[in-house]
Amino acid sequence: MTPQPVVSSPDLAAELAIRLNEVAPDGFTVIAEHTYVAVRHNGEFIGRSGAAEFLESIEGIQNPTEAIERAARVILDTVQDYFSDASTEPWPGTRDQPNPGIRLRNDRLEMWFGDQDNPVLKLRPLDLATS
Amino acid sequence: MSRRRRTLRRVAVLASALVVSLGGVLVDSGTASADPLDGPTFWKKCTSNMRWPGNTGWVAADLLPNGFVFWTARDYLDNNGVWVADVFVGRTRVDHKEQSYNPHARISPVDLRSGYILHFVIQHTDTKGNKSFSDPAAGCLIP
Repeated sequence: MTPQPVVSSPDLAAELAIRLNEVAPDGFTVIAEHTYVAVRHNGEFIGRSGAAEFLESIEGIQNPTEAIERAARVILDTVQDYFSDASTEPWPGTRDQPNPGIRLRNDRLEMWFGDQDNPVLKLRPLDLATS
Repeated sequence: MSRRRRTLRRVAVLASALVVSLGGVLVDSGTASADPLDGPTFWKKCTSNMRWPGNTGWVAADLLPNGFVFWTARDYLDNNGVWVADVFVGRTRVDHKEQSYNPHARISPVDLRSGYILHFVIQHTDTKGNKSFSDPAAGCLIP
């Protein structure tokens, strides 16, 4: 059997919220609300992504690696939209919106915006336990 | 008509009423399945400039040349309140979010599996508390 990464949806939401909050533009806060990653702007609720719940779906249980990658990509994409929609400025960077990128390798989730080789912004990687 | 026949007929009527009632709940609650075998909806192939209008607003989607699908939803009158959006590819949910303004997003080609139905299920509660739901046919066949 191939070892599979193990993380619960609340844990993934919490870890991604911490990392996104570390790089959030001024006035924005990113927090975890159970399985959701929520964004506030000057204290006002903008929106929240429930993509971490993919981990507890049938497909997520059958293929956790794919579910973690999908959830992380969707959360990064959604939070990026919340930042740029509320500020009416692209984020991160000052030109076009760079695509979010993710890579799960050896239980380590790497996340960035822009080209993988020359990212506009990198998030702190997340180490996942395996079983 | 014999008593036994009347009873059977009553059971049949009750059963069909139950089916109609369940059908209404599924549509109203926005939990209709995205499986092409589940219903009579004819799913057209995903293209650019797709739009599914309703009484209070619309859902639109665009298959872009780079393989992404960009989608959005709007209310004709009030785009604030609470929006809950779910996107499915087949039975797999590929997006789920709740927000205070009308949603939009892009779907990565990684999640767009050829031959599956891309399906949007959007609910909106406007600032006056009125609820509306996206057209159950808001979706398309991924080429």
